[in-house]
Amino acid sequence: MIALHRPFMTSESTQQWICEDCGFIYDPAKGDPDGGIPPGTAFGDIPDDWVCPDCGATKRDFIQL
Amino acid sequence: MATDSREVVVMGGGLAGLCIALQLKQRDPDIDVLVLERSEHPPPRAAFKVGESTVEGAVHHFAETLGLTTWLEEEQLRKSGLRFYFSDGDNTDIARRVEIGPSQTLPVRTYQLDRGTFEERLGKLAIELGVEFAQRCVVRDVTVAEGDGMHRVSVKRDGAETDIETRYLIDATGRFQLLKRKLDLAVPAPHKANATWFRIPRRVDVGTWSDDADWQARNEPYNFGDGRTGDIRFHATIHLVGHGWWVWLIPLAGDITSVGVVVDDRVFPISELNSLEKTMAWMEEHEPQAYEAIAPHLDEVMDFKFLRHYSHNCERVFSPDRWYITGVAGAFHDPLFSVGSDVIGWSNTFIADLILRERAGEDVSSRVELYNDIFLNRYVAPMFDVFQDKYLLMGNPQIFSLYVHWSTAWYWSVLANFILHDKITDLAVLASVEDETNRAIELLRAVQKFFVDWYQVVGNSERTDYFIPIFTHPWSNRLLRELKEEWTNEEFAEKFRNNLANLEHTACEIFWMAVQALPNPLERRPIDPYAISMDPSRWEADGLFDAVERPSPDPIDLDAELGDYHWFNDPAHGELART
Repeated sequence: MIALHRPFMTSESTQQWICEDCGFIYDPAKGDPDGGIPPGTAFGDIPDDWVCPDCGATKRDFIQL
Repeated sequence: MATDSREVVVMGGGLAGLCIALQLKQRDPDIDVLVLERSEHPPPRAAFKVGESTVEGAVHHFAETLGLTTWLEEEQLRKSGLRFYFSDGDNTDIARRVEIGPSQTLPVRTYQLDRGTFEERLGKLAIELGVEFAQRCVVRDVTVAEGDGMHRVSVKRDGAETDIETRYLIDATGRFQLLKRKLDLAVPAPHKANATWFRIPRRVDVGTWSDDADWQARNEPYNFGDGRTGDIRFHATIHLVGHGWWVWLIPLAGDITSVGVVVDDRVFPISELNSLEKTMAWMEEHEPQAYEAIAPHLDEVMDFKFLRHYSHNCERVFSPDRWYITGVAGAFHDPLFSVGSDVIGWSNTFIADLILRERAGEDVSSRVELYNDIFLNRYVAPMFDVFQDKYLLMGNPQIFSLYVHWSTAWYWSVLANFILHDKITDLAVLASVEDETNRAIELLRAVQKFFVDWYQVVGNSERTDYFIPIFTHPWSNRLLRELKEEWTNEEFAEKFRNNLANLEHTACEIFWMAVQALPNPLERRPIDPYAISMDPSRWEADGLFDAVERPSPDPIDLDAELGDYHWFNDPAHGELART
């Protein structure tokens, strides 16, 4: 069970997301400190009112890279 | 947490933000201005921002209002207007494509801006004038005050957080649209288009794509006005167009080229273009000559960016509570016609006027409402009609050429006249032409809708080997020259009225050209240009014929102005008109 569970956790916390409006890439390793998101934050754990730092698009405008 | 107190805080140190800081400081050296910028200067050369091509209003703002003529001349490249090449077959021979563009140097100077070097210069000038230009600053939050209170801006810089109080707050955060989101002011724009762009350190010159002797000979050289000449095609903003798309090629100083692909979302979704590889594959299919010029140098590409659905609008941009939104943070239309920096000049002039009057103790509450109304309802909103559905028309060279011709004549007659004659905050002059301004806007909307109507009747039309020296026709060219003339207020009002009458007459002439496509062509009679449509069943009800012949007080030669376009209906006519 642990062996199956771990890769899933790893992919969730390293999965990069791209803004469909402007191409900005959210990388959990870097986070978005200027926008209040510390490094290491998975995309799913970002608050819903966070926006793309480049173009202001909402979280809903991001897709998995 | 440290707290600072300022007079004016500008959030965003890009083009809009640095220009308003400069404008305020130039108008009153005592004013305290702090600009907060997220990135660090100097910005990268060329590969920085788009919005490189400028039109007359923006150049007037940069050169005359902000006094940057020398820097424009020394550091930026002259622009020789717009050129369009319509699609012909597989687009492998540019000389066969219908071309429209000036055949001679136009009388008002415009420029192709390298946004990196330009903004670097603006930053230096702002600092020299005493603006505090704080870089690597991120605005974390804003609390907007009501009434006489101070706005609060929370800023993070190098890990330290500061709260800044300010009496005047300007949002120039560009696409980030900070205040608009914070105050829930977003207004969606119906125009849905996408763009991708990149820069390469190479000259991409359409003038070298064909050695056809006639094609090479049909333009005069570009005349710099100091004895030097250049190639008029090279200095132009090039548009390679087809149904639903255009490709821009913009030369920048130092043999750098800005390349962009702009598409109607209904024809090409962004998913077909949102990487350099996809954009190049698209270009290979639709614009092979551009592809051939660029593809060998792909390893030198300096940047690549894209934007989906880039148009947006705003409910309010100037507040009696002393906050203001300028530039892309408020509204953005479209890259076609390069009106972005015109919009910045207009809104910054309003903002500087409001702040300086309020600061001097004037009650500006009614002026704030008036400026909002003028800017949003009489400038930004009508301009959206200029772009809505127009990319579809790029598949029809006759309709699109007339659209370019009439729309630019409207811009020079109306908006550019206000800007270049410095009348946009002159309430007495604005009042003297208020009726005419409202009619001009109503006419713009009627004619813009008519172009789409016309296209819906006739659709795409591919034509070959024709040239229209647009903007060098007598009336268009005169409109340009008149932008630089000194007028009294009475002359301004008289010219404005005459221009409106001639816009009406040209609109009627376009109607008569268009209805030739209908199965039962109509006999010429007086018509109301505000009621034109391509639906004969509506004509009576819309009052199309409830018009009396109203001669223009300053009549223009309609055949000299629009005769070239008859070629599309009757090739013999156009050829005669040109010889």
